[in-house]
Amino acid sequence: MEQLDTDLRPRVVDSIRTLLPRVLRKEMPEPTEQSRLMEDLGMSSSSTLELMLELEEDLALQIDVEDIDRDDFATVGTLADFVVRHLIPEE
Amino acid sequence: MLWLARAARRVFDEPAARTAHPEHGPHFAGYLTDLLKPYGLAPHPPDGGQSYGEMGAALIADVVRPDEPVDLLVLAFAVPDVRPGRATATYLSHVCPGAPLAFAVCDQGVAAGFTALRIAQSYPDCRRSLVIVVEQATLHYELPAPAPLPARHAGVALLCGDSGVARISSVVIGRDDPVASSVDKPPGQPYTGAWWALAGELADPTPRRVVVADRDPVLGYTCSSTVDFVGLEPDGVARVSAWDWERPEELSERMDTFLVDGATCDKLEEVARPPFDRAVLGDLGVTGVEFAAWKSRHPAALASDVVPLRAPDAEAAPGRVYRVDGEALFAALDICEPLPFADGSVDWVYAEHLVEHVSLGAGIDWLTEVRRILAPGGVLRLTTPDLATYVDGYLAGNTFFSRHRKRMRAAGLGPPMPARRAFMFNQIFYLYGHRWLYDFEEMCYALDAAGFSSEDVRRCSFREGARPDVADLDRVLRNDESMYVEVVKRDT
Repeated sequence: MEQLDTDLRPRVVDSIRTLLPRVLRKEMPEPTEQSRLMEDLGMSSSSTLELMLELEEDLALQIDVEDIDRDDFATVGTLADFVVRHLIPEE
Repeated sequence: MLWLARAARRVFDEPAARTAHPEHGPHFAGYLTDLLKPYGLAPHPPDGGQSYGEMGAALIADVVRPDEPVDLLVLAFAVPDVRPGRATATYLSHVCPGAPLAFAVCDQGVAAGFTALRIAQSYPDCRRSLVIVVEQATLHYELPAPAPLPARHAGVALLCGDSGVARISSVVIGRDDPVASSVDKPPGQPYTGAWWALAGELADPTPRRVVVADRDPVLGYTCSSTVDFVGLEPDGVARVSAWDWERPEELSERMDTFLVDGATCDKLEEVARPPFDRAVLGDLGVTGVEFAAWKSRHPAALASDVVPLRAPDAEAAPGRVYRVDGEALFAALDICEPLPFADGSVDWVYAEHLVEHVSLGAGIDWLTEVRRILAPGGVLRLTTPDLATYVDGYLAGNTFFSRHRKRMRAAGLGPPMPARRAFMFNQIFYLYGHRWLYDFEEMCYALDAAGFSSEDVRRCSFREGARPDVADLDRVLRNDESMYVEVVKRDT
């Protein structure tokens, strides 16, 4: 019984956009939903875990990252889609 | 750091699958004739020869299991492919598990394989990278410049990545430097020979250093690569890596190496020598010290670690302050020695996951030193794995262990940790060079023994503390297992 919180996705997008400079340790023009994480922003596979953990912390959510793959990291928007679909319910 | 996990080597017999193809054969002759015409060349009778696409595909099947996605593939060759017109590296990416990012290196003679390894080294985030060095012996035209031709078609695939049986520590390509020694290169394989011999060395797990060295007689490149076998059993095709969670000594050595290899920067400029008082630190813009870090995120920090940073032309000498890459400051300091700072010279000290790496006694001595160098009102923030979290994880069978395992896995720390509770409990004591684990009470004891007043000790949350700029240094990767403790030095 999956229930999608419709307010959640915009919050996730905002959070990703805010967290990216911290995770990437550099100042950058505010990324958009279409910004490509690897090509445009220089995200690497080691920074991806950090971003997911920062998101969990920022949004007080648990994300199941086990079946994440490269395509989910295409843009800020695709990553937000992944996060919304892979929340672990609070126990 | 690039590790060599396993290797495959092969000789390819005639006829090659490609040239024997009933449809491609006739077209190939015409195609090659057209390609050569502008150079005033005509093809020899189009028989024999190998394509690196088919050779590479066979080597991939030898060395990569279907469930092992490869992130990066580099194809290296000197003799032209018998089949022109195909983007061979792209083709190999198509047949290789993981559809890796693919490069081809050519026109470098024997240096091609070494360049391929350097490319693999420059992608440290790749869990697996595959270097394929190939040569084929038949050409259907004269080469414009003389070059040794192989006596047979041969190929070597080196599966590298973040774990393996041997560490590839340096790959150097120069011009006409004398080459010290090399593995024995088989005759008739001018371009794959050195790698062929290296692949043979993998059968023997004895710890030793192997130097792969070669020289290109035409181009004058001398190349060498240092490969250190660390004594792990040779890696069978069935195993993903030689990382063994049940051998803490080996893991410890591997992690130490990892730390030493990671301690690099582009530029080190010495800016100050000890002792450091408040005035000297003030001139440098330093208000506090972050231990267990090569580069601090805090703009007014002096970062410090027992492992010195290295630049290509220099290594940080103990105790001196260096400007790193023109920005952050670093000093190599051993926390088991007195700290080279004057009394009361800093406003804050931060140390994440450091104190558990020394004995309780050494920890107390260091905390005593930290108290000495803190100015009155100064803050010490410590983070360390919380023994209580591990005890709760063991006793209650709660989700901490399973989440922590996933997190370590995602962080690329070796193969999945065993799920057994006793393993998860033991590893925090015996791995990573840990010497003493703390719960809050034990930390209060140590701080009290170091002269801090126990009523000034406070347990904090992740990134919450007396000084937001210091608490902000907490790394999110560790927030599942850590406790955060602060103590303020009294004014008296």
